[in-house]
Amino acid sequence: MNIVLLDSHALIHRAYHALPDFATSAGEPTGAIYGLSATLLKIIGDFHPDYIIACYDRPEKTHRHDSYTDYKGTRVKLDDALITQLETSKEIFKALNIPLYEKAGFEADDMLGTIVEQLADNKDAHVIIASGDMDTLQLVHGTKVKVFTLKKGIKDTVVYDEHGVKERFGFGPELIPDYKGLRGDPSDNIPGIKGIGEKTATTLITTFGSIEEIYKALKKDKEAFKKVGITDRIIGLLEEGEEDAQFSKMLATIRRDAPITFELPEKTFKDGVKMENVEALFKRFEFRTLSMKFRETIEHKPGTKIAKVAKPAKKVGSLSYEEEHLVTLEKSEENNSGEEDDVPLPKEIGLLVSVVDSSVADPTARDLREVSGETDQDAAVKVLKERIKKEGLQQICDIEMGLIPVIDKMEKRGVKIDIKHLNELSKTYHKTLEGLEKKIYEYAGAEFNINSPKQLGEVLFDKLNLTAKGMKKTAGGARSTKESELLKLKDSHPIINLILEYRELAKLLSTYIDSIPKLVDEHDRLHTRFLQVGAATGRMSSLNPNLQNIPIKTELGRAIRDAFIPEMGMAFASFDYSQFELRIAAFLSGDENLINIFKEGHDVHSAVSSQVFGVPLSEVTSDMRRKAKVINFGILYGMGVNALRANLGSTKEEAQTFLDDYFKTYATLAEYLEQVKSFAKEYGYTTTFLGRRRYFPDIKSKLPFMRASAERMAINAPIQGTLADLTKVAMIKVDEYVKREKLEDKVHLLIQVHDELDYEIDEGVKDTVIPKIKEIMESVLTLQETRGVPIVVNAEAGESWGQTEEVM
Amino acid sequence: MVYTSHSLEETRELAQRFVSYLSQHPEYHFFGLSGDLGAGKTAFTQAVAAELGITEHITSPTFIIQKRYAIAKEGFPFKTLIHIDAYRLESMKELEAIGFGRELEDKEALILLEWPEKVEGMLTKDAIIMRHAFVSPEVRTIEFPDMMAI
Repeated sequence: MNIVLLDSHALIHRAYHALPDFATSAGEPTGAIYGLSATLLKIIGDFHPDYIIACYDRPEKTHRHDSYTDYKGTRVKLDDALITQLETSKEIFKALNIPLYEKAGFEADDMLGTIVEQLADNKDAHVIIASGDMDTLQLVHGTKVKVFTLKKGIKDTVVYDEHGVKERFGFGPELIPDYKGLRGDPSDNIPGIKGIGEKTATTLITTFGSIEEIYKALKKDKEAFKKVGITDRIIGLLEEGEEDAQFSKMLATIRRDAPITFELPEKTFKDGVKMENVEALFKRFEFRTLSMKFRETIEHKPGTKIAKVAKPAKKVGSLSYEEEHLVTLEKSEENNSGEEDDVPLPKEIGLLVSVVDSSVADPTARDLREVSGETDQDAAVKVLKERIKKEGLQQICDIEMGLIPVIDKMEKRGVKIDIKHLNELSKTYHKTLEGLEKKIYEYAGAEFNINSPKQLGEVLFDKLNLTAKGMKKTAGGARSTKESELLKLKDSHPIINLILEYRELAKLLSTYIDSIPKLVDEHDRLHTRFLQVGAATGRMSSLNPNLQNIPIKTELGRAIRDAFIPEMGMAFASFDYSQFELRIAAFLSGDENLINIFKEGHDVHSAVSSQVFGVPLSEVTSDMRRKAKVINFGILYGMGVNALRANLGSTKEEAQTFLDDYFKTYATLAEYLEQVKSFAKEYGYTTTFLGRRRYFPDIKSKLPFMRASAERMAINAPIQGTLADLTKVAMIKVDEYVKREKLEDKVHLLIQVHDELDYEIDEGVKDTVIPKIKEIMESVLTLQETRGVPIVVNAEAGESWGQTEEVM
Repeated sequence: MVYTSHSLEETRELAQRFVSYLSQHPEYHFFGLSGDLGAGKTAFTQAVAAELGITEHITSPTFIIQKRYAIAKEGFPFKTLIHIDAYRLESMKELEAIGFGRELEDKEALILLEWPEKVEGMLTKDAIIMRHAFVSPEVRTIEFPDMMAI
């Protein structure tokens, strides 16, 4: 039986500070109440409590104040709005049939401690204490008493059991008062021993135990203390501070003997709730969405039904201002806005959806229903598994399933960030941005908001009168200032380049340089989220931030990557598949000329020049090579003669001739690409080497440009998709190797982006591991499968992502 | 001895008996699973894994070649399950490259290797070959050598 005990003050306090100043139309403050209700909702949904109990502080002085008048003396006086809401919160609990416990002279913590104590004999009782701080951790016991605490704001939560406490502190819950006895607690104004900080306190406790044991040991043998690195100075402080330590420990110890009698309520929580009372209360507070969510959560039976769309789609205007605001807040924190439809699915099920339909990147319950055609989760899963078998997708499905633990580890590990470096970059580049701004204002003859498309449009088109052929308009009829449009104006005025530079810089600053420091955890590690089927091609993608958009060739891109560093004692190793798309194109198509170029190990762009222009390799000029490079990449994306002409900067005839010669030389490749296109046109999808499908509904569109666009994407899909598949296979294989060699704490996969895998590898083993990873990545397919085309990986290592140098 | 299974439940039951048998005969640690595509080799491996308390999803490691799983079953003589798919291997050298030789020496590793025909040279004398066959969409047979009385 689950019993949730609430430290009401802590929760309300947190909510008050985390949320904006909501208020009803009558002016009654509701921000903290809203946060409390949202937290309650989460608790009910996560823990399915049989009982919920709320504990409160009382305004009277407590026994701790009696011993120590300065107790909690550093606390700021509470705002009136908070005080009001503390009182109002009791109404929420009343409506939810949650009993309150409070006692003059005792704190809420003591209530919690006493209730835990009185429940100790109840074998069935599993207690979860919802609290905002670490004081209650001392009540944790095994897995029977846990603490659920909020990390940042009200969305980030962590549950501690005894093991969790030990992991976090290095010692068990029973020693937390001793820890505070030594270190003190500034927020409660518990003194501890002045001069003894976290590290020392932890060492003392993990070595000797409780305060009593520490002092016993001190009296017996001081040498033992010196041996664990305790200095003479600290020993002196300890000796002098014995009374302070004991006193502080007493203050920090939660009482378990408050004179209250705890009784479990007659009815369980869900049975005792009167929804009408709850709804009436929420109506008064103007919480419309919460009302509905509460009803659903309380009446929902835990099971596997996917939510049916019972409510009509919500129009934004129907939310109150506060709820709209919160919904945007929630959305921007990457959380679902609450409709069960939009709840992301467990990874294994979500991937079934993405394997069957690769255009669904982060499947929700709605996607599961739509793709499977079933409303019941179990039935939906069955249908998808059948389709996977029938459509030859089992291989891909196996790979995605096998990848899940690899990605989990990656996300959990995160990557270390050099925050100082990013801060310096921020300073420098904000200055540059200002400089650009100044110059732009000079040209414009006035200051204006460069980020406002409207104002920019006025400056460019009205003030400076810039025009070019074929300028597009936006949906609202204004002239567009999109990058593609500005590029058309490039040569007409120097301000255009400045604006493009400004935008690019501003984007990088906000997306990476200024935002990454806010995203890291307490160890400065950034935990990007990786979507296994992030792109319809099968490629992975990353969120928060999207690592793919860090520029590859520019100096600023390099500078940003310099901030991604390995853990101390480790090297950053980058493994990049060299020209994988072209190699894949070679063996998928079976084009002998192309295959031979790779077999013989030539530089592919030079070799292609040589073959297409009919000159010996030694006579290929850099200009020829550049042209070949353009077409080599373009061709895989279905580039036509117009795009080629634009890229080469040549005439249309030249481009056409080049294209014709290219396809004459690589006739088999041309044929293969045509086949892919025809198959896609006829069947509506393409497949990769391992069977992954991508669908192209637009290929049958009536609009020619939609059709053309779909055709181009179809040509590229098997190549990109095969690349994605093989990269994933490599990730799993390397993971197996690491597990097999028991190198799990020495080798960590950090990032997958473009065609590369990035690891941090312990310096001591990197000389064996780096060649091995390269080898594993190169052997994802046998030479027979690649028709002799070798797979080549470049391995680089260094002190940061930006500073890696070729190792082999 | 040929066992017939008419359903996944029956395969699971067979896997249960197989696992009990192994508990009493830890000297048998290397099994080759022979049979065509669809004959039930991976399904049997999945059933065995379920019996061993492995929660991770078992999939056919055709491209990965090998996957290992920690066995949680208390008192069971093996600590690791190694699932190998030799289908794509062109030579024994590749098996060696992934450390197979060492794994054979690990007495606490239970090895289930699909497509043993591909690596005949690696099969030690104590390798036991099971033959899987597809009879009809619902029915499979598994043949164990007579000395194994499951």
